[in-house]
Amino acid sequence: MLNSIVMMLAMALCLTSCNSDDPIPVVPTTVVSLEVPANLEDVVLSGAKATLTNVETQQVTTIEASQFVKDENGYKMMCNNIEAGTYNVIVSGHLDFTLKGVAGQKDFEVSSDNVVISPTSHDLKMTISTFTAQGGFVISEIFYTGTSTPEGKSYSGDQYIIITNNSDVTLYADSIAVLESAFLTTTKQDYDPDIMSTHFSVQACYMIPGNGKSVPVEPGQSLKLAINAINHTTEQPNSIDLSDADFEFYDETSNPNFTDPDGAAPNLDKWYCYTATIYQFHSRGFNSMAIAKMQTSKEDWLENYVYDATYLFVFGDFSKEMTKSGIYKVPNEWILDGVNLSVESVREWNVLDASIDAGWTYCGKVDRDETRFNKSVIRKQDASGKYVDTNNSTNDFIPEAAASLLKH
Amino acid sequence: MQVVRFIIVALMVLALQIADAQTVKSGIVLDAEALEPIVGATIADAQSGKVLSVTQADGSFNLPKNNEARLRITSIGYKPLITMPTSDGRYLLHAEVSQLGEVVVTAQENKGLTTSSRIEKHAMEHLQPSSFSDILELLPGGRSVDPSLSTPNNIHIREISTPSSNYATSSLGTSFIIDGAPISTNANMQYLAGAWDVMASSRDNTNAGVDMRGISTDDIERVEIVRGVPSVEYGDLTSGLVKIERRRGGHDLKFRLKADMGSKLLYAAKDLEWENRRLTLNISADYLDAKADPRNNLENYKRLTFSARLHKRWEQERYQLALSSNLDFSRSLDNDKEDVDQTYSAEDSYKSSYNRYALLTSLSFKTKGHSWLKSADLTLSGSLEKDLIERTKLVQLSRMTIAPLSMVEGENDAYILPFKYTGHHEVDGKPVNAYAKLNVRLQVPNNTVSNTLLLGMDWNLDKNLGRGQVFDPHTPVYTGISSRARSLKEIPANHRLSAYGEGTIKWPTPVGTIEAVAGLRVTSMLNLEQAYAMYGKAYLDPRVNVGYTLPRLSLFGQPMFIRLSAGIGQHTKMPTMEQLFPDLLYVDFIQLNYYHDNPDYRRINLMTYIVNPRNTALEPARNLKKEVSLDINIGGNRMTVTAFREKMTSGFRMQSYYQTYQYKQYDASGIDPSTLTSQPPLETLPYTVLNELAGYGNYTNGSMTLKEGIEYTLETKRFPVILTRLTINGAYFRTTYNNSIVDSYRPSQVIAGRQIQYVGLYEADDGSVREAFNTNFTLDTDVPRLRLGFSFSAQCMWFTTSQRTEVSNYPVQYIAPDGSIHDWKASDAEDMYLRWLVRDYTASQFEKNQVPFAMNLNMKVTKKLFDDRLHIAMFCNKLWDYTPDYDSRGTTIRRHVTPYFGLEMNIKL
Repeated sequence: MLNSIVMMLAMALCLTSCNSDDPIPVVPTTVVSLEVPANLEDVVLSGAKATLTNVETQQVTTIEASQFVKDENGYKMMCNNIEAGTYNVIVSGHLDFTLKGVAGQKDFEVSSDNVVISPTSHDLKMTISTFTAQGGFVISEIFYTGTSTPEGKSYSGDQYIIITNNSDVTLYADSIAVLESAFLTTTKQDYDPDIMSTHFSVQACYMIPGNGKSVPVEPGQSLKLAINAINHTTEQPNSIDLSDADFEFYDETSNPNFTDPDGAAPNLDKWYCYTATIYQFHSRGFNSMAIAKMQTSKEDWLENYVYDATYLFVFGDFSKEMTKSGIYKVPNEWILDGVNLSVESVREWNVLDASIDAGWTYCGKVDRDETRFNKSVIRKQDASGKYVDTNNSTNDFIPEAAASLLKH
Repeated sequence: MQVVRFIIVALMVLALQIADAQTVKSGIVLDAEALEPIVGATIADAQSGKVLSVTQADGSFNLPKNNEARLRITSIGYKPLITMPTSDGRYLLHAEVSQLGEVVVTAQENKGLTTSSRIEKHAMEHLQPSSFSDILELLPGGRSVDPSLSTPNNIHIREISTPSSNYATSSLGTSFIIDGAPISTNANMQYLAGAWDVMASSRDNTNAGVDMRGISTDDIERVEIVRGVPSVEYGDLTSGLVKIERRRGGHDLKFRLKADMGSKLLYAAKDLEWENRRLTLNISADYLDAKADPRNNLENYKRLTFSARLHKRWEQERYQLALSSNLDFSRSLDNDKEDVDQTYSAEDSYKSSYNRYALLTSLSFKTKGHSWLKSADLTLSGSLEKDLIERTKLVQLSRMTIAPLSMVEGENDAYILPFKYTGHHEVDGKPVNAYAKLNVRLQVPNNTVSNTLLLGMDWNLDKNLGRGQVFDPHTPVYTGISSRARSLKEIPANHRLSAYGEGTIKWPTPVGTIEAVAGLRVTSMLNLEQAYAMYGKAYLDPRVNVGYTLPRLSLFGQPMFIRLSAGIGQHTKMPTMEQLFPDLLYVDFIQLNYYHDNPDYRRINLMTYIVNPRNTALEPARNLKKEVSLDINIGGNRMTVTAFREKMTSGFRMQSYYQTYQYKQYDASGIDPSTLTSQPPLETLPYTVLNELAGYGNYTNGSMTLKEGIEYTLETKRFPVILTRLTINGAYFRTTYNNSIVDSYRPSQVIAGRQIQYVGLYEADDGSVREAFNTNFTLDTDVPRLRLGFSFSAQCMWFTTSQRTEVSNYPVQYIAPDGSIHDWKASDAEDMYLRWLVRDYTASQFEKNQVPFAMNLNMKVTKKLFDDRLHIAMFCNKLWDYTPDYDSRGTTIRRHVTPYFGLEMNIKL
C-alpha cells in the first residue's frame, strides 16, 4: 500500500516537473492524513468529509467518506489534481470506537488554515484535538446507607448508584455491570487461591441491557441506577423520588415475602445474585462495589467464571478450614472503576486490587453508626467539573457526603 | 376399660383378705433415727437362726402367732437387734453409722434401686436458688451456672445440651411432678407465628418441656431427680423425672429476701398445723424480679406464685385415710421493650405472660392390718392456664410489601401494606389439663420375700381453649407470615390413657440381698383420627431394675456394704398438640407484581395453596435406657458409680420437604401505565405457567440422641474436729446427636434471574458428638456451736469436646424443577446449576474441638442468729478461677470468668 503511494507520488512529481508551461501547477495527489487519539480502539470512521478551500480562488474541493482509507494511525485520503496554492482544510466526520472496551462515538471537525499545497508539499496531517477520549465511566456516587424515617428507623429501598461518563466522548453503557464484592472489607481471610490481582470476586452482578449501542451517555452525563426506581417520598417523606432513574435493580420472584416494586425504569439484567431475597447494597458499606464492561455472554460467564476458595476461619475457640464454593469472578481488565467501602472501626482489608482502588471510603466511622443514614460517598470533581480518578478512593471520594439526590 | 374392671375385681378380692389377718402376729421394723420403715429386714429365731419372716414395704412382718422365741432382726447397714417379741410390735434398728443430726448440703444418691439424686431442704437453703434451674448444679455432671432468667430454662439430664430445637425432646421428655401431679406442657402453643426477631424467638418454649424459671423452690421439702429408670407409674417421659414434694405442716411464719446480681426474690409463708386434728395448712407466696441486665429496666422477668396446701389425715384402727388438696397459682411474665427515647417514641415491645391455676386433690388409703391390699391412692388434678403473648411494633417497611389474605386455595389479589403502621400480634393460649391416677399396692403375705405389687392407671387430657394466633392481617408485625389466624379450640383434645403393673421384691438371703423392680406400662393416645399411625396403637414400656447387695463385709474395722445394680427400661413420650396438629401452611406465589405510581392501580396477584403439614406417620419418641451401678459404703463413706447408655432414635424434629407447585407468571411489560384507569385486568395479560419448588416443615421422628456416660459420687462422713464433709461428684458425658432422616436444602443463589430450581437431598445431616468430663470437690463445714455453715466447691471441668459428624458435601439425590427425583452423579458437580448443591464442608470442620481444663471456686456461707430465727446467707460463685489460655490450631483462646454473687436473709417467726 505504502509502496504504491510512494510510486504514485514519484510519478506525480515527474509529471508536474515536465509540465512547466502551466503557471499554476496542479498537484496530482494530495494526501490528507487524519490522526485519531491513540487510546481509541476499533475505530470506524463514518460520514467523513474533507473540504479543501483554495484561499485565493475560493474553489472548494470535497472529499467524501468513500475515499478515506484506514491506516495504522488513523485514516488517509487522496485528493487528486488540485491546484497548488494555499488552502483552508476542514475534516469532519463521526468516529465509532471502543475505549477500554467500552463502545463510544464522537462527531469531530478539525480544521487547518492557510495550508500550502504544492508539488513539493502535498502531505497534510490533521490531528483530532477537539477531544482526548481520556477517562471513561466512573462511579460518581454510591448511596448505600438509605434514609431515616421521621421515627428514626432505617429505610433502605432508596439506595442508588450513579455512574458517569467522565470522558469527552459519548460512551455506551450497554453491558456495563454493577458488581458487589463477594468478600467483606470487614473480614479478612487468606483465600486460596488468591485471585485478587487478576480478578474481582463478586456476589452480585446486575448488567445494563442493550444491543451494544442502546444506552449512549453523553460526556459528563450520568446514569442513575436505583434499587427501587419509584417515588419514595410518597411513603417516606425523608426519602427521594427515584422514579426518573435510568435503570432499576429488580428482583423478580414468586415468593410473596420478597416483593420488589417494579418501577417504570428498565430493569437491569440480573446475571447472578447470592440471595433469593431482595437485593440491596450493604447498608453499612461492608462490600466493595465496581462497574465492569462484561466482555462475554451471560451463559459463558455463568458457566466458566466461577471458582472455589478455601480459607482458615478463626473466631473465638474455633479455627477451621473452610470452603467458600461458587464464587463468581470478573477479570480486572473488564473493570472500569471500583470503590472499596468499609467502616473504620471494623475495617480489615481492601477486596479490590490496588490497581483498581488503592484506598477506601466510608459512611460512618463506627459499626452501626446511625448517623450514616442519608449520607453517600461522592467522587470529587476538579476545577473543570471532571471527576477525579486516581484509582484511590481515599483521595478521590468525599466520604459521608450528603446524598446528592436528597433535597436539603 | 377391661383394665378398670380388672382392678375393681382385684380390689374386692383383696378386701376380703383382711378378714383372714388374725392368724398371725405382726410387727414393724423402723429406723431408730428416722422412724421410717426398714424394708427387707430379716426376722430370725435368735437361737436356731431359722429365718421366720422378712419385713415388707411398710416395715411390717408377720410371725406365726405361737412364736415366743427371741428374735434376731437384721438388715444390712443396721446393727442386729436381738430381742424378745414386744407387745406393741415395734422394733427399732440402729444404723451402723449414725447419720443423726447430719446436715447434708449436697445432693445425695438415692438408696433405692432407681438411679436418682435426692436434694433436701438443707441443700436448697445452702444453695440459695432463685428458681429450680439453680438446683441442677447439684446433679452429677452439674456445675454452677449464672442464672439466665430472661429466656426459658429447660432441663437437660445426663446430657451436654445443644441449642438446636431439633433435639429438645430430651427436655420435653423430662416429667415434672409436684406433689403427685404432673405439669403438662403438651398443649403449649405460645409461639409467635412467623417471628424471626430474637425478642420473640429466644423466648419460644413450645415443645421444649417445662420452663424451670416458673418453679419456685422455697416450699420444696425434697426433690428427687430420677436419672435412671423410673417406676412404670410415671409415664409420658423419655429422659428423666423430677419429683417435687412440698412442705406440709409446721408452725412458722417465714420470710425470705434474696438479692443477687440479676434478681430479687421475696418469699412469705405461713405454716399451720393442728396436731390433734391431724390437719395442716401451708400458705405461701413468692415474687421474683429478674433483669437480664441490672441497668436495663425494660427487659425483665417476673414471677409470682401462690400456694395453699391442705392435708388431713384420718387414723382408724384398720386403715389410714389422707386427703391432700393443693391450690396453686403461678404467674410468669417476660417483658422486653425498646427504649422509646431511642426509637422516637415508636412502640416496640414483647410481653409474654403465663398464668397457671392448678388444683390437686389426692386421696390416700392405707391399710394397717394383714391384708393383701396395702394402699390405694387416687390423684385428681386439673390446671388451667391463661397465656398471652403480646407483640407490638411500629412497622416501617423499606419496600412495597404485601399481606396474603386468602383463606382458601386459588388465585387472589394480595393486600398491599401501608409503609408505616403499628402492628399488634397476640398469641392467646388457654391450655387445660386434667389428670387422674389410681394406684393400688398389694402385697402377697410371704415370709421369705418382701414384695409389693403396684397396679394402676392414669388418664391425661390436654386441650387448648385459646384463640391462638390473633392479628389483623392488614397490620402484621411479621410480614410474610405463612400461617393465618387459627383458633386453638378447633384442635381436638389430646387424651392419653395408660395402665401399668409393677412388682417389687426384696429377698434377703445369707449370700446377700436380692432386689428387683419390674414393671410394664401400656400407653395409648385416644381421640386421634384414624389417619394417624398412632391411632389405636398401644406402646409398651417395660422397665426393670435389679440389685444385689453383698453380705456385710468389714474393711479396717469399718463395716462395708457393696451393692451392684442394673436397670433397663423403655420410655415413651407422646407428641405434643403442636406436633400433631401444626398450623396449616399457606403457600403463596406471586403471579403478577404490578407497580404503578398511583397506588390504586397497583396489583399483586397470588396463587395460594394450602398445605397441611401434619405428619400422620408421627410416632412417640422412645428412649431405651440401660445402666449399671456400683454402690460402696465403707463406714458411712459412700461411693456410687453409674454407667449408662440411653438411646432415643425417634426424637422429634422439624424436617423440611419440597414439593412442586404451578403458578402463572403474568407479563405486565405490555401495559402502558399512562392509559390505565384502574388495576390492570388479568384476563388480557399474557402469561406463562411455571413450576416452582417450595418447602415446608413438618415434624418427624428423625432426631437421634444417644447419651452415654459415667456418673460418680463420693460422700464422706463429716470428719470430727474439722466438722467437714467432702463430696466429690461429677460425670463424664458423651452425647451424640444425629438426624436419621434425609434432609433437604435448596440453594438461595439466583442465577440468570431465577433462584436455583433444584433441591439437594442429603443423608445423615446435622450430627455432632459432645463430651464433657467434670468433677466438683465440695468441702462443707457445719459448726453447730457457732450456728455457722460454709462450703467451698472447686468445680473442675477437665475438658469439653465437640465434634460434628462427618457428612458428605454431595447430595445423594436431588429434586428437579418438575418435582422428579434423580440420583446424584459425580459429573453433576460440574453443572452450572447443580454445582450449587455441593456443600462447603471441609475436613477441618469435622475435627474435634477440645476445650481444656477450667476450674471455678465457689463459696457459700450461712449463719444462724437469734435462736435460729434469722438466717443470713451469701454465695459467691467463681470467686476464683483457673481458666488458662489455650491454643486451638494456632490461635490463642483467652477465657474470661466473672464472679456472680448474692445475699439472702431468712426470718422465721
